[in-house]
Amino acid sequence: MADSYINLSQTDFEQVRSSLISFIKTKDEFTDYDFTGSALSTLIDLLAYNTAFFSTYTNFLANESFIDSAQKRDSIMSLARLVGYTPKSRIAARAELSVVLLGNEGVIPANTVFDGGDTGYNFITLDPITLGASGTDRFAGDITVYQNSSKSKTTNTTYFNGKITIPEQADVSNIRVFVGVAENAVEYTKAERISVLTASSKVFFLDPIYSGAYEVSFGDGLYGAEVVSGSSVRAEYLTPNGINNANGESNFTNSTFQTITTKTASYGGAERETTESIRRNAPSYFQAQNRAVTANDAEIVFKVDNPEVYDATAWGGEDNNPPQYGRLFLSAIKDAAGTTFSAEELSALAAKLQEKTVVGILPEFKDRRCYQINIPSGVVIYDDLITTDTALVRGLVEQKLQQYDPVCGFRGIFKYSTIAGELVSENASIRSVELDVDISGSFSNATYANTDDRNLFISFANSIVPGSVYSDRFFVNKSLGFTEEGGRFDDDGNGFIRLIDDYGNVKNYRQGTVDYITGNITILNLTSWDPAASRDDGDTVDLTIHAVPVSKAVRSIRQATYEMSSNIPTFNVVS
Amino acid sequence: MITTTSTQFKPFEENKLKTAFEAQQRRNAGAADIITPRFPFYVRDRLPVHILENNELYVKFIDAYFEWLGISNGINKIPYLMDINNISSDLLIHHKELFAKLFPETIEFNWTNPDDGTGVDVRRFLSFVRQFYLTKGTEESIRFLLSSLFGLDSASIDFDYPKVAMCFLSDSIWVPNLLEDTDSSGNTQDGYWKDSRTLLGGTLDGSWTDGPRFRDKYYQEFSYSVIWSPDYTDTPNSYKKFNLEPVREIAHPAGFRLFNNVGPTRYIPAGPGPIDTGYSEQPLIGHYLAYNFETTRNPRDPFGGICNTFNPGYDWFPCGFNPYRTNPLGLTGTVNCSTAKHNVDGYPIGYTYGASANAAGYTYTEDTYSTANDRGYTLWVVYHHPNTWSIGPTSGTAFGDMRLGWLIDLIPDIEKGANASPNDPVETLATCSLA
Repeated sequence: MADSYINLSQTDFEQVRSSLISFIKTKDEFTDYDFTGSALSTLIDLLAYNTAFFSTYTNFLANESFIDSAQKRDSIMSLARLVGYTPKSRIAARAELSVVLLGNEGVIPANTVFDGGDTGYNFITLDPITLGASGTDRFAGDITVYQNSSKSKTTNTTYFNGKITIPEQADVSNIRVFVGVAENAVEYTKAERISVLTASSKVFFLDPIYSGAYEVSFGDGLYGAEVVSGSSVRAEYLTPNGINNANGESNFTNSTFQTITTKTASYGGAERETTESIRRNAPSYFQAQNRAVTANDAEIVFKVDNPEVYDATAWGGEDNNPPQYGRLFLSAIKDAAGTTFSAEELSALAAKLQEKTVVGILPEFKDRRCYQINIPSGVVIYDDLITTDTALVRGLVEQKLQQYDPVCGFRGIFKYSTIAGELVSENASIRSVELDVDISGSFSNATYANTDDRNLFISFANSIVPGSVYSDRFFVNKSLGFTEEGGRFDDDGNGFIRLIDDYGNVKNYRQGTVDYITGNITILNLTSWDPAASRDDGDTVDLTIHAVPVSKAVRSIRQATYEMSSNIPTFNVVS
Repeated sequence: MITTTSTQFKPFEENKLKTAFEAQQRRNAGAADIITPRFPFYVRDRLPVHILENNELYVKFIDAYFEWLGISNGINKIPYLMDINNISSDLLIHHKELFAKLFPETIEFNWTNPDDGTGVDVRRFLSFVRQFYLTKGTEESIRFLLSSLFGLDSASIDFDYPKVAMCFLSDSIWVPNLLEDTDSSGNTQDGYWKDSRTLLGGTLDGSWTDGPRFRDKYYQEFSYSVIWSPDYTDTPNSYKKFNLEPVREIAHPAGFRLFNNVGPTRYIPAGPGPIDTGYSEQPLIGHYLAYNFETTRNPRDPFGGICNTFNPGYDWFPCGFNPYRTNPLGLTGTVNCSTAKHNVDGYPIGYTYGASANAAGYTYTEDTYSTANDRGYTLWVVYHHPNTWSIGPTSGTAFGDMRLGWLIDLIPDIEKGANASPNDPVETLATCSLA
């Protein structure tokens, strides 16, 4: 619900009635009337009821007129259309496969169905795909398949009143529109900018309409070619039903193929854009005017132009850490699970965005990095007159922490004060909550086990408390002067990371640096780390570095995001 | 929540101007004034003729009802919801949320009370806001924003481009930085281009054939400086309203470095927070104070308001100039302040509060110095004092007049005594005036 509700008219009957009587009494003819006893009382009641009823409608009308107060999706869609913003439709999950055909035909027809063995959903090809012959006289190649509710794309030929209505279940990111009959049909492309259109531009317009549906229409003969009434028009689109449940499919089957190898498990399936997202994005899109000048502009333009992007954030190189001028940085993911784009995909996305950036400014992508939020200690005080079940209190706290987990979202915030406040206000049994918060980042032993690279870099992007940096114990190479096989880090409070052995002896006073303001921790040339070493139980140990943030309201900034650690929060529950 | 209804009867203020304008138009056309009903649902269009003719009192009653409906119940606002010029003032902010969401509420941009007759005419502004968006990234847009947000004369806002006065990266032989600054996956994070001799010489900042060379990554090609003079008052926190955050959000081209040059005589250290993102941005170019700095005067104030005559009691160089000439990670530097902060290259950029005794040869008394903690700040920025440049501008030289190659060496001024610095914490009253 919007937080700027407009209360234009009174809807309470008694207030309406009282107000009406007061006003009528100001008229000379009615000044001396006793409205409680006269026949007019019935009329007053009737009109007050009527007014109260229509006041509700008035308030409804006023609220639905503005994007910040509207609550109906239809209204928000209409207002978004006012500023040229097309809300994102459902997106079909897609997967990349390497296939080898059985027969001698080297063409995979459009609408070839692949059964998803893990999710149970159908995936289809969009267009005919011609494969090259492989060394075994079989035709082989890489293809992309899309999840769809039926075994073929939906073909809509209901061209009425100059428009085709696309239902809300459709994925319009791949919509194709043809004008003409059969093989003579001409494909029209989606219009992006009206300023570049001519009278002969074969384009269609895609607009959101009420009920969450979309509408395909054509030019007026001035901006875009006109399609006369009675023309044969066909729209083809996907109607995915799996949405995000169809993500992660990697077990594809089709009996006409000799082999099907999943290169990339299905990803990107997403529900249509939420009303809150539209409410937030439409004004940003208007401010951008389809240009990527500011970081805000770049973010919204990038997301609108690339529906396959689940979420993204952008920042100027001047705000990068360290600064890199002349660059526009973005971090983007394919789905809620944080699937990243390949280097080739990012290159294509950057080239596309560069068409709208300031000349000379180069887009560049950074991988999202997700750090952990830990609760290493704390005290929760409960009222033992209300409950003596400490496990229940502990469970409430843990549940609330999970409720506000930023889950690695861009621009996410760990709302510590809200968590503490709600725990106390919602539970009479909890009197106070005081939890300690630290943040951590890990370096996988598997990544470093077989490499000489021992330079580690963490950018928490949140200010950290001097003297609060420490690491979990990790294995060191005893041949480099260590008596025992364990080591750990801390910082000296003056900006340097120290390496310490199991006895507390500082082995290196300058193993790295820490910038307390930016949260940057740099560890250089860590040759003493032995990532391949294992514990007695055979498990190896990652290198995890912790720090205490200055503010418990830890924020995801740029590509640095946060989630609640899988470690069970540690705190005391006392009465 | 917005509550607009009141049981008190309000005149039709919202449409007053429009009505007056239309009346004047009629008069201009030679027509007589007419009295129009105040509410369009006029009763005479709704009731049967026999009722109108035979029930005068009832008609007056219904008439009064419709009048009340229009006045008291806010229905009169409905026809103008989409009319920016005539929408009631309390509802205008809802248009702002769609068309100008990032614009803050300021004295000049009074969104909550737009018709008070002061500041920007936000109704007109909304009508033309799209034109403004199309100019984003230009001097015009930034000048407009600053003058509008803070009520400044736009002619008092100027721009300067630091690159015209600096040695550029291309002045050397630069190669990609492949050996350092890699992330956990081994990818090059920073992408700096380094002097090829850096790799050969093994130092981070490289060596020039005729000595250490200044390399500035702040003050370079993609940068511009906004020069403006907001009228700071003596109110300690008044400067907080003057900042460039709206410019960054609304008009600043991403990828460029924006410097805020408010002039050092009005310099106030940043509030808590990361450098350059405090309430009042710093006249900072690289590690240097911005130009127009009056270098004939001493900004140090270790003697309680005696030396720093233009800002008594404020010691702008409490930690002295940057002592580093080499990378501290190589353990060859000397830390001047015990709690020095460092940037990603390991160079000190400031020190946190609570600084106390430091390197040998320096005396430091917290009571004598105004520490950051005393001021409530978490960080002081370390600046190089302009007079520490032995090769470079002479005292009083405007920065804009500086030429390429001047800022090439950060050797302290040898005339300043044993510690070779005009910022020597042990300086005496005799050195209040700098050479």
